Amino acid sequence: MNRGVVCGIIFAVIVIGAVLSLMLIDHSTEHFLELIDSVTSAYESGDIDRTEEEISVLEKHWEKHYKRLSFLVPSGVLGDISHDIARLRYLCRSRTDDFIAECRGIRYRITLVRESQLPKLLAVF
Amino acid sequence: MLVVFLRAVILYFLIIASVRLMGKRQIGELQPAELVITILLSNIATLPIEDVSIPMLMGIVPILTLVCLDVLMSQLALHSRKLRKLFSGEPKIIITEGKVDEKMMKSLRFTVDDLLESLRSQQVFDIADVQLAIVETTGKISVFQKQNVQPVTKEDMKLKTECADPPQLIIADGELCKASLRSIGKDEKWVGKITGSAGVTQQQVFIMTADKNGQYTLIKKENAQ
Repeated sequence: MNRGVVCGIIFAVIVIGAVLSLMLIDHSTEHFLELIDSVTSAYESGDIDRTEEEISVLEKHWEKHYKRLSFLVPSGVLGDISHDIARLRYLCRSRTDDFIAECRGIRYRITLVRESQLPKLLAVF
Repeated sequence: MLVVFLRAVILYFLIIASVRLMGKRQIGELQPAELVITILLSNIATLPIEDVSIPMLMGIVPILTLVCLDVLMSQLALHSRKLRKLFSGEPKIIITEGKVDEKMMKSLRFTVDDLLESLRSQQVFDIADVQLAIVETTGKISVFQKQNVQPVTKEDMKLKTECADPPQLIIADGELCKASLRSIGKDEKWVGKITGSAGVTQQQVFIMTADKNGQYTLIKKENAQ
């Protein structure tokens, strides 16, 4: 096959793959943010059992989300978020104010990861 | 360690495929744009191998993007001389009738030593012998010597010569090269006749070359002798 055609196909596959992965990450991150907000509100309402349930759901979602993100984001960044999520259950049980701060931190980090994938002028340059 | 090994294997095949995709031109002579691509590729490929925290896609995507861009640009350049000039520049005349163009040398940042070295590599030891010297886009100098110092050719001596293609490789280590056989206008029966008359089978032939006139050279494998 003509080299130009092959390269055109590869180019198209890269562009389509990039757009699809961006949509997938955006959707998955949005769901993750909803879950972390649920965890925060459950904790703020003082219901520890419900908070732990919400944390379990969050952990399961993160496992899937991690796999998707690991194709695009350096594992160091994802490792930090995994580390923070792993601390949540312990912080919840010890009923410390750090719990909310940790949730906010996770929220901010995951938002930054999504932002880093968007083709904004700042990210490109 | 196994991750690094696997990544290296994947990227090895990717780079081979990429260079094949860029074509033979890439391997033979490097135009400025191709040189840049080659350097970039080698640098990008090492990143995901060395640092396992970087996703493989971060290596694969830029490699494929650069290769595709290079191929697409060269395809575009085929249709546009202006684009070709933009990407590769154009040949520059540096010596005319034995006279060196100093201005051109300065603009090309060529030193006298560079020039003489390039001439010597083409068996030209006297600048006065040069009718025309051109710096090609690859940086190589092409030299056309004055008529009085050019070697005598058969044409100059009015000698009659036949134009014939060089012999083709027909059998390599017992394997028949069908494309070469077709190019000299022979078939497998003819090869069978030759090997039969030599008292060997095709598999027992180490090298066999032949030309269109049916002239051939056959070397048997050591264990067949």
